[in-house]
Amino acid sequence: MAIDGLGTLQTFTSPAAGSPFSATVPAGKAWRIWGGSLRFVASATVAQRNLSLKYKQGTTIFFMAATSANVTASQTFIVPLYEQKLYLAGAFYSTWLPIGIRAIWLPTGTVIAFDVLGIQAGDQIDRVNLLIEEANA
Amino acid sequence: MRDGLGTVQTFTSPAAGANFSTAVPAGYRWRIWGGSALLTASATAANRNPFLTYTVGTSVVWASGINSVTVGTTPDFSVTANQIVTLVFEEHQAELNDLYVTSFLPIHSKALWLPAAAVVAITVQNLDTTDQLSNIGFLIETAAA
Repeated sequence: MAIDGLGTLQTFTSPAAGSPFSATVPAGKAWRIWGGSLRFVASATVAQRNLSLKYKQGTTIFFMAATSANVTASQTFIVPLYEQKLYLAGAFYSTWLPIGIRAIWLPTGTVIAFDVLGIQAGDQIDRVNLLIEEANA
Repeated sequence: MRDGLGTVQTFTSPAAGANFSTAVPAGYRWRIWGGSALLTASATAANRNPFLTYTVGTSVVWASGINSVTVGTTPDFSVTANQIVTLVFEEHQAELNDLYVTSFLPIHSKALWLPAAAVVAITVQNLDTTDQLSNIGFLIETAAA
């Protein structure tokens, strides 16, 4: 039995360049995600990219949040995941973006996806960490 | 039951030009944590306005509408002809920006317990006869009434 609020920080394998990230809640388990972070490195290709976090099963999306600003060529963004929107400015504005998250129990089979609208072949998502509380479903 | 733990239930799409509704089964109560649906607008020019409503008896206990679809010099607060819009239902409005405006918009929902026979509906004002709601699913926590 998990203790309420106690989780472990799990580090995930980075997807291939030009690919989005996803992880799936294992069979027989439920996850509650308390936070995390990832890094997005945009290639030199000129394009607008937008990162989103989705919780979904099949075509059903039951949570989605997207970054409020677009990522442009050659930018590196570290994206912290918090329950509430963060306000960042100044020196951090060009490198950090908030993504909303909600501490609900995610049922078995839920896909946690970091999608990038406008992703380019040389873009890279890496350093994906999630603080996960796991319980038997 | 663990607080917040539910299952994703998908629902049969209504006929073209029809709205969607489903009722909490007898003997149960629901708490809806989120969900989504796809609205495919026909070529007919009209401003469609989707709403999510919870109705208990004759009382509408919750109603929320879309925020915006198109962001530009003139924000458009309706779904227009030929747009395919994913309606996402969640407690708090998501962060969105202009790359998503023609394919995504949030609709608020609330994590309240709905009693048996309560009706959850997706209603679209000015729905055209060939508009289509589909891919309807909700994350639902169920408990005995």
